[in-house]
Amino acid sequence: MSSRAWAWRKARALFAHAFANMTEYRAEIAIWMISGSLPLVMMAMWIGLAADGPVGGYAAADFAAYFLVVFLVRQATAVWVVWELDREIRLGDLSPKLLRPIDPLWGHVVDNLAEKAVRLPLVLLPVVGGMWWAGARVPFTVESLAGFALLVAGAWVIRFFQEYATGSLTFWTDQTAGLERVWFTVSVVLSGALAPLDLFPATVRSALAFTPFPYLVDAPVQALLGRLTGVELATALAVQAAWGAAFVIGARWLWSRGLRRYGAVGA
Amino acid sequence: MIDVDGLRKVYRVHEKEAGLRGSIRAFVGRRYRDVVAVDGVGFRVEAGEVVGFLGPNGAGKTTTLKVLSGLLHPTAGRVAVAGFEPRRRQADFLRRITLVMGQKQQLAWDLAAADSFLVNQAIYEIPDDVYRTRLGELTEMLSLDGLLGKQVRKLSLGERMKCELAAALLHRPEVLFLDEPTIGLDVTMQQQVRRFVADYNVRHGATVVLTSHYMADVAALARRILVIDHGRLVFDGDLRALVEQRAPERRLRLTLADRVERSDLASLGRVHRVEGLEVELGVPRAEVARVAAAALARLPVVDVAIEDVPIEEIVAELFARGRANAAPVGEDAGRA
Repeated sequence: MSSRAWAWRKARALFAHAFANMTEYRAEIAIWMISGSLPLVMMAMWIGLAADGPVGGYAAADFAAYFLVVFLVRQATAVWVVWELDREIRLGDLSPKLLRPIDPLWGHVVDNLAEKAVRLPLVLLPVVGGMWWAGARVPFTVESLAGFALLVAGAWVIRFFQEYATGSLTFWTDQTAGLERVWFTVSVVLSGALAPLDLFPATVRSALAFTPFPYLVDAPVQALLGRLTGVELATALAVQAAWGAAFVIGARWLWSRGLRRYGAVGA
Repeated sequence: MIDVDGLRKVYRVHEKEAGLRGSIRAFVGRRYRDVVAVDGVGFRVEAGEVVGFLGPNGAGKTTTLKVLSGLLHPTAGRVAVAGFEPRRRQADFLRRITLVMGQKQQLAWDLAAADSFLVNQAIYEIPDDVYRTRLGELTEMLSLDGLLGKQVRKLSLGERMKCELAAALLHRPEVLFLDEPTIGLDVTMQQQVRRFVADYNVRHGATVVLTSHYMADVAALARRILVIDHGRLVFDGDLRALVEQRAPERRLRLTLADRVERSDLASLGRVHRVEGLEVELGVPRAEVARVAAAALARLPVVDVAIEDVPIEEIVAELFARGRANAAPVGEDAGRA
């Protein structure tokens, strides 16, 4: 078999294994899904505020559409690899993975994608149902769908490698959980998960444009709702790509430096 | 196959006194100290050799194995395994070795072992026909029939260890590092694992380095042993040579019909133990036959047995001597 055929075979075997594992944890996935329901709470709140007329250009149905897609985006980009790395490095569970001739990164990537394969069908149901119930209209076009897909993929890359970088810090400190909390809190506010970013003051918005946060939630949501111009979409993709590359490089660097300090505890 | 020279591994650990006051102190200013786990160890292992590491807890056995398998970066010294530098963890190196840890597992807990085997097949790039042959061989050698389809968490400890061994050997490594492979297993299962490792070594000419608390493991498998204590190598050589060199005596065990005077026993050899009518004497190797004959002639002997000094005792004595001779490595620990 060629090395490309083997690479494909490895991806398939890892996926089959991860998928089998995830289906063992159905209940857990459902719980995680519910724990990500903050956007639905925010939706109820904003719909209430818009009962007497639009707020900042958003009518009640617009808020419903916005937050239902926020819910979808956050579910599609949910990442937990920081906790996995924290545990593996502290308790020495990384050792068996380091003995295999494949970077442990791939196992984590495939685990995440397999979980998405189980989770996303469950997520689509409330999203589509909610849209119908709220009378929200989503103008599906090729551009909006393609832009949405690319921005969601980019947001996933940033989220995944940001957590991988934070998780790699466990080689030096046992405070990675705290660091992740800080990132989480800041990103919930600045990514558009609590309120659409166009309700923020213009100065704040222009300052945020250079950070990764708006591209994690707000940009993909606006793309699907057809509210981004071609230029805005291209800019969002370019900034995302730059941040994605930075986090990939940073995570890989921290990982390779950290391995030198690995203590292989236990056994 | 394995070449180690001047290997040293120092861990930095943070120190905290017990209790609330200690926690507050550790929060404000952390104190670290260096612990020397391995201190200038050097040895060579030829291809196909089976070598046993002996040593008390914390002696540095496991640390050495982890350095040899590439999990830990050495602080100093040179290490080569199968022509590779382990810490670089190149794929070609990892395909040639395996490390089985009695207390860490690679099999997914909630799935069947067979599921994890398929992942290893792909990762180690084992063609289907070769995989089937090897799996058949391992199933036969380890009696895995009926185990591979069960959820791993439903297997007994021994069954799980056998599946772990199979998973670790599907890629047919040339070098096996076994860290306490029989820990927690019952005697029958320990014997099965030992027999398997010996078979594997003979069948495939693999090099085996193992650590164990059970002297029986080491005695059954390894002709050559490395005794490590406080991070230093205190003996490297043939197990039998160790026994003869350190234990010039053999044990004469007598069961008597009546009590006898202690002085009568002392005239035959060194009295080791007297418990009721059971007596144990230490006798120089060369004189065992003569003393046994004398005992039978002079004493009311019901039964007699001649035994070697248990290896455990020899090694325990070796550790005690090593400790008295060598400066304790722990003294290095003060430096922060």
